[in-house]
Amino acid sequence: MATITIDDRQYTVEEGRNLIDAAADLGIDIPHFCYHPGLAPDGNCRMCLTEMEIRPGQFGIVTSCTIRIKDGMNFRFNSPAVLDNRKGIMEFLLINHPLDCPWCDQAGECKLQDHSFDHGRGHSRFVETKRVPPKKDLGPHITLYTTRCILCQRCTRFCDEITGTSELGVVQMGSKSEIATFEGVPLDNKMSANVADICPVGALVTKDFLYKPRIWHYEKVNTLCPGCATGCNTTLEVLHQKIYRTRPRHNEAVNGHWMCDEGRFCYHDWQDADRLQSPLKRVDGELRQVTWPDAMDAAVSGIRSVLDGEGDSAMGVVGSSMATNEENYLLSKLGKEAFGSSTTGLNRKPDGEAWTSKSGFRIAADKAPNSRGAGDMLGADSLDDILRGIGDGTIRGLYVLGGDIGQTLPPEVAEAFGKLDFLVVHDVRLSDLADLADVVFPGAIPFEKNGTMTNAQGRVQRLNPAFPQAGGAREDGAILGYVGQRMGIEMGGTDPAEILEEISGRVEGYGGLTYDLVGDQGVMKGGEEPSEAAGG
Amino acid sequence: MAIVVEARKMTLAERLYLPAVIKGMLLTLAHLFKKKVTMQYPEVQKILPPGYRGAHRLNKDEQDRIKCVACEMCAVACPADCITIEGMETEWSDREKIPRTFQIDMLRCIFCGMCVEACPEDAIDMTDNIELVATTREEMIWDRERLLKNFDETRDQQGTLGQVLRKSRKPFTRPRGDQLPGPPSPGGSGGH
Repeated sequence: MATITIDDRQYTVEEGRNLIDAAADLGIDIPHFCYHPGLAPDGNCRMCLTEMEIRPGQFGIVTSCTIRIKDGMNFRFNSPAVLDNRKGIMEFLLINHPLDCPWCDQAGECKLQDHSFDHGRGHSRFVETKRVPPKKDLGPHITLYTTRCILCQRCTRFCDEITGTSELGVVQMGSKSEIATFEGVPLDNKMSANVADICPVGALVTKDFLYKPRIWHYEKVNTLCPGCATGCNTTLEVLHQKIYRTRPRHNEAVNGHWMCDEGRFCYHDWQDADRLQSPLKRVDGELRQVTWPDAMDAAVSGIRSVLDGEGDSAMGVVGSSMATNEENYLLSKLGKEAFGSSTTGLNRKPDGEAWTSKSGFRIAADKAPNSRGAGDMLGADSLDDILRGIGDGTIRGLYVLGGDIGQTLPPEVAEAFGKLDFLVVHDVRLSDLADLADVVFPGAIPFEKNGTMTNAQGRVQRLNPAFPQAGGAREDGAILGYVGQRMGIEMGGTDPAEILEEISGRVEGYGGLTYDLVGDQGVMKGGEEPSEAAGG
Repeated sequence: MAIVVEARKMTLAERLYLPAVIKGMLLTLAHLFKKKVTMQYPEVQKILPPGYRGAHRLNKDEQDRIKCVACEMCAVACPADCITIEGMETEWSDREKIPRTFQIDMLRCIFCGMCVEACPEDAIDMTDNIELVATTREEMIWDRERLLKNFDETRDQQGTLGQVLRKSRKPFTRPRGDQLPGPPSPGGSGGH
């Protein structure tokens, strides 16, 4: 710890920390553009200049972002020289700025607006003609509004330090400088859309979030990305029950400040999907829409007839790595108590491509968010036992959680499931899994779910619903609870917080977990250390 | 408990009624020679003061294109929350964004004029069109086309609210070649 002086007041802060972060911890805001906590300090925007005592009694101007705290440092944040400097820097930055705030998508979360309001001079003395370079298409996701750029170079440093791809650079000199890509090399990497998040002004924007409703309309929902087992923490921006934008939420232990483009834009696939609107029942070999009571009767009588005819262990349960820990737990409980069966399985997604950025940000090969948690709840991490059971005829019926929008069944699994006497499926669309079923319940997508998921590191994290279930769909936990009740067992509450408490008493590694403990940053299960290095 | 009120005995003049009738007739006669307080609406139209806050219009620029850039400042300023805007991209070189939909719910609107004050583009205005008549609620939700049509109908009107406000507003930027400014005056308006 170090004792420093700011404007004649003493503070104790962590030694070696940079001045902007240290001041932020003390609740003092130093205006800045180019500094980003996820990137190395650069000191090029000159907005964070403050005065520091360089010799006894003598103060000099320094950039706060490059200053590391040492004991005894003495700063002035509000001296006339500092305030004058900020005003001057703001004037320089606004010289060529088009002031098109009315149609700029950044307006409302723009650092240039905020700092101009707080530190600017309120009107312009610039009488010459503003430079108007045209906007540029940088890559598949990003457009550069060159006029709005203040050349803080956060984006070029991101491409150098985080992805290591270095697509972006500054071309030309002096007042003609602008951000550009190399000829024929677009900004096309797995994390390219992050540059729009870190751009402090409206210069870099994603093509996905352009000309959209103004940013202050959105309700922000903290949840997880369902794209892979990394489980990036995200904030969804929701308006009228529709997601407009996904942004990464800072979690040093998981994703740092970043997320990948695939995860960022995957919400389109989910929310534009052709969702199941009501339960389906097989009548004369064909799936027909039926009411909830009808479907429930059909499911329960079908399960009963399998259990009566073939004995207790004839029903198996298959969990989903798209479902929450709580839903998978309820399923395994249903299997154990109502079906008297211990054969469980997990329908895993085939592995995709794994990728690690220069900074260590990981995209997992496992493209489902909760394989680890589902495995913990079910005590199974593959379909092997189930397929063997079907093969030797001991399993005659299955209760399967689906819920993956891109679900495709491998042929051998489809063939095995086809041999069953009775198949109940929860799914979100009419997938080839649902197509085999005798009864289909319309379930929820991850953006509609409340619960926890366990990522590849073993970190248990919260999932929050962005909007209620579409149409006639229901939460999978509630459906399982009702089926359990109809089968005559005590399922307890279906509130995910209560179920997590039950899990904490029964599942190894989850002892003592509660919603409060999981919080918005998650917690390692069983107090384990992360098994994989954290992301960027 | 009932109270017994004794009726006063009327005088002869009162019993005749005629003096009262004549008094009334005289009052009527007097009004025939006074200035009229009513008008023959709709044959005669009232002349409204400048800056009157009647039905809204969406202004068009010199090239007859919609001026609005869908910044939603009017919707933010609106205390009745009656404005709904959805933006879209435009191919015009001088601006990026125009409204795809622009709706004002005239039944919700309280005609306060804050939207006109908030507009940075002088795109929304209020006119002296006061004849807001419809037979259904849906008709009273004015869309983009209806608001632009109102501009065409009131194109020649002098002294709309927007024009009045613009006249009273301080200049947006200082004149060129201005002296080095002192500290900003409190509440001073202006931009960069």
